Amino acid sequence: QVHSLQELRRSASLATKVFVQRDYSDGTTCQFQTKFPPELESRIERQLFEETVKTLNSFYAEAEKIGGSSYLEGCLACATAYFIFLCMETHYEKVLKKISKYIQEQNEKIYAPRGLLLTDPLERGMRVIEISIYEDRCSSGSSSSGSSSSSSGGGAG
Amino acid sequence: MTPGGGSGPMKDCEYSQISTHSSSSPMESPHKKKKSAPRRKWEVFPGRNKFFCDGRIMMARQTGVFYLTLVLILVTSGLFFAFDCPYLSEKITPAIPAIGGILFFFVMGTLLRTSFSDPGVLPRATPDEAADLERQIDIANGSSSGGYRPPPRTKEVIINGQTVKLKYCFTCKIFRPPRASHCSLCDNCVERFDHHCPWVGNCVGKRNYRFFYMFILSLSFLTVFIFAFVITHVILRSQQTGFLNALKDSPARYPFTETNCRSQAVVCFFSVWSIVGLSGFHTYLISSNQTTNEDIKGSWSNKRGKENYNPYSYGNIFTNCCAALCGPLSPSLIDRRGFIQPDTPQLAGPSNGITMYGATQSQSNMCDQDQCIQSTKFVLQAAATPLLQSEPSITSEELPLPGKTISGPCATLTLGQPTPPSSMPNLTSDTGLTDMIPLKEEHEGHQFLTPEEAPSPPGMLPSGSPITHSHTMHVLSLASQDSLHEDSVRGLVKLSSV
Repeated sequence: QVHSLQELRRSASLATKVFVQRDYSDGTTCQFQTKFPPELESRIERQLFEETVKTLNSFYAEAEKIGGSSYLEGCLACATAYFIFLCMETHYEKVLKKISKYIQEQNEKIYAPRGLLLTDPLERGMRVIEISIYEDRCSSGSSSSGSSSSSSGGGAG
Repeated sequence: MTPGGGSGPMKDCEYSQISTHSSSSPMESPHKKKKSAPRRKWEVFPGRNKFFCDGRIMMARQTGVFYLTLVLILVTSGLFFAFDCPYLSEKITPAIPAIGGILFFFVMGTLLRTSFSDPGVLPRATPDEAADLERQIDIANGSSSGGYRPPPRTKEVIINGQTVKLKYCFTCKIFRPPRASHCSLCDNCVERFDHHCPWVGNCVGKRNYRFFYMFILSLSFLTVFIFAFVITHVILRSQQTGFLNALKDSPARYPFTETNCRSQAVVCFFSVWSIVGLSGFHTYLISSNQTTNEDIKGSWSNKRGKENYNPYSYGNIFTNCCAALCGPLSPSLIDRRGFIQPDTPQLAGPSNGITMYGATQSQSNMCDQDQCIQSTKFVLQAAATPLLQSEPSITSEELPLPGKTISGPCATLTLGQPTPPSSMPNLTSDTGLTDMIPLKEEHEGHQFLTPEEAPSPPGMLPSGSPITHSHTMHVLSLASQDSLHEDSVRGLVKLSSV
């Protein structure tokens, strides 16, 4: 029952989506909640999921880090009246590329084989990590119907 | 067109239409549709913004005052360089036009950056997200809310020991992150919203605050510079030849000197006070890490209570300044120049608080016959699944949501069809469908047909026109829903037989 990413989209039907919301307890920096959504209980090991979210959080922390190199970049940009942004890629953008690679790799190795798909938060305005839960077409009726009516959901109430 | 209060059997006739024109009907749409060029996301952006240069430049809708700003700066600086600089560079030092030039360049650069860039607009929630949030809110609230507009929703979060309330934005269907605010002029939620500045023709938010600050700072220097040297020019000239004589001599060699000097001096005089004042104010804001919005509301002032402090401040002025001006620049979240993917749902125009999912299929013109047939078979299979399990939970999910049409399975069947199946006589066809399509997403547990898999009816994009009608008011009862399910499956069976 191993799916590759492309196969997943074609052969499986989307059952539901789970949203991992932002964790604002540290301010406005981009962090996601590591709380394990109940819908994924049967689909993936808790530890793997938490590992993914923690790694993503660390990537975002790195991107938004205020330190020597970011100051240098900021001052240089200011000195050139910000024209330098026309030709240079910012540190944040570089990290975002790393993140997107990481997500793709996670999808291929871990999530797709379990019938799940992570969406890059950048595509969702950095609001949520969207996890699509797919049901295998062949196995009709064996749908777990991931989100139950009384699910408290992944996000904080 | 079905009359109001459409019921199951009526729908069958309409469904059969899909089967015969599965590929052609989506093509025939009331909307103009580009067959060849894929569209970029800025063309369907739901906010009230203007875009130029194929999405590279983004501004607010009203830009008249921005042009005034440009004219004032250009004319005053132009006069300065043309008439004062030659004299001053001779008399005092050529460094004056040089410095003036650098300042001018800086001012223009930062002004254009501020005006043309994305202030930090938060994209609106996708239908899935919005539905998920609604679900959670309803669970949290416990019961269905009465009235058309549910009570304001808030979430509390503790940031650095301070309790911050996050508000739910009805237009964007998201809980606003801390410090974000919805700009009513641009109809967007903007991160770290400072204010909407008509002088730059854009909102000032997280992504362009530093440009804005550098703009007003450099403009203060420029106005003071020009003012000082215009006065110097007049004084020097008057010392040289006597003031009145200077003006008398002028017409031949220095045309309109009097007017020049006067106009420059006047503009600069008024600008100096206002702009220098504004720079000072923003310097204060930056050093205390507050936004104009927060300062005006007094969110973190001591007057609210002794325990009230700013949780975002880093503690010292230097770090606050560095963070605001030299911190990392986050990228634009709205991806203006990206192409609309066929499987990405787009959001409709401003919904102004009406609970409506204006999402639609991407208007991609690629609706293959294969794709349509495959999808309809898919729909059949998926729709068959709900009947195998009892779904009492549907009502608890969907009925409490006011103003939403509850016809999940039926919605899927109307894809590609211009007229909505259920009773919505007031609707224009396109908006009806745009409403219908995403509703199936709410059908909890069974998102059997998502925009990713469905054929995209390209004509369903409302192209930014405000959608303000009441088509979402129909709420079906449980009993009729069951019959709807059965009817819809019957209809699907017909489809698949094609």
